[in-house]
Amino acid sequence: MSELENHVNHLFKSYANSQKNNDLKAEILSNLEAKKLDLLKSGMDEPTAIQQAKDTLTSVDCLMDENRHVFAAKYRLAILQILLLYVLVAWIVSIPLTVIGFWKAHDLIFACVIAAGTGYLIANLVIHLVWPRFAGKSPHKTTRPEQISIVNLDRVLTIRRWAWGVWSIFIILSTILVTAVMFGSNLWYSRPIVIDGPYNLAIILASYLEPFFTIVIPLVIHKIPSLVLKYEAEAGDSLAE
Amino acid sequence: MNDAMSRDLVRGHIDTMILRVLIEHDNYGYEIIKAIGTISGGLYELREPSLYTSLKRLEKARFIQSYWGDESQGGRRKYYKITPLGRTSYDKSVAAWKKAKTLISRLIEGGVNHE
Repeated sequence: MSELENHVNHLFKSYANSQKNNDLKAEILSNLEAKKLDLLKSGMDEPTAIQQAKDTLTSVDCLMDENRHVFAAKYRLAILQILLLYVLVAWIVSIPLTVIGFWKAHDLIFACVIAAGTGYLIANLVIHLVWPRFAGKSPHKTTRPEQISIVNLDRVLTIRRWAWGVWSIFIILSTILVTAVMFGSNLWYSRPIVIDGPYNLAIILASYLEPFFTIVIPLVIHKIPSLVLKYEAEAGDSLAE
Repeated sequence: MNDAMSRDLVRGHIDTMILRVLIEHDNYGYEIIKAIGTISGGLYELREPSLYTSLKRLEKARFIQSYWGDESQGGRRKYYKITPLGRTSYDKSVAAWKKAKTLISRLIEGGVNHE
């Protein structure tokens, strides 16, 4: 196997062995070989020619359909914003639970609101106040707010499926656990379940409801793919430079 | 700084640059890059990643078609051929560019006649 072939194989290492990818691989290799031959013809020695050919393409990440280019700062800020919004809603929804003494979930969600809020605030300060100050002085071609990162859409969608799957399992398990704690002895000793009054009923319902607040996690993850598309950069202004 | 600015301006026309090369004759990746370098008089070098991104976009839009060559050595080359649709798109882009060029010159060159 030639050195260029090795190089191209290495570039495609983490991508599927599909017909489409193999075609692209063959095309890239033939172009690199053509470049090498051309450089040799112009009098360059072989190791330098091979190195120069290799240097022309050091990654194929931006050529893969599943890889989307997003404006990194805006994209991350949007995720943070959605997280903040959802935990805030969860916090408000959890207020009625405090009436019957369920403070734990409420306080925990409040801690999340503070954390997400602080994160959002700091990120905004950095993007809108700190970066612009340095943008003029920086010799870099692009200012940071325009910096682009690659997100693999396939992977994001897989994570989304997993998030819902794991959350479903968590809900099933926690429901079983709550049932076991509340009614375990009734089942064990075959005693009838007695609900004495609305307060008792509220306690039972709240105990079942509490774990459902974690739905915020899969909901936020669920939004990510659409954010990738929303903050996608033009194919032209990519990492090509 | 100025270099970066003109590079940004040029970058928006990579597709048309490639179509222009393919109007002359069918061609493959490396030769397209070389042709663009020659046409620019050595002032512009199209990078490989931009080339592949652009070729993919053009093929998807049916402006170009690809076929494999039958080289015996150095691996098979993928050639590109412009389609009638691509030719129409090229003509439109050139017309749009001419219009924009006149307009932008008029707007930013401040009354001094450079032509």
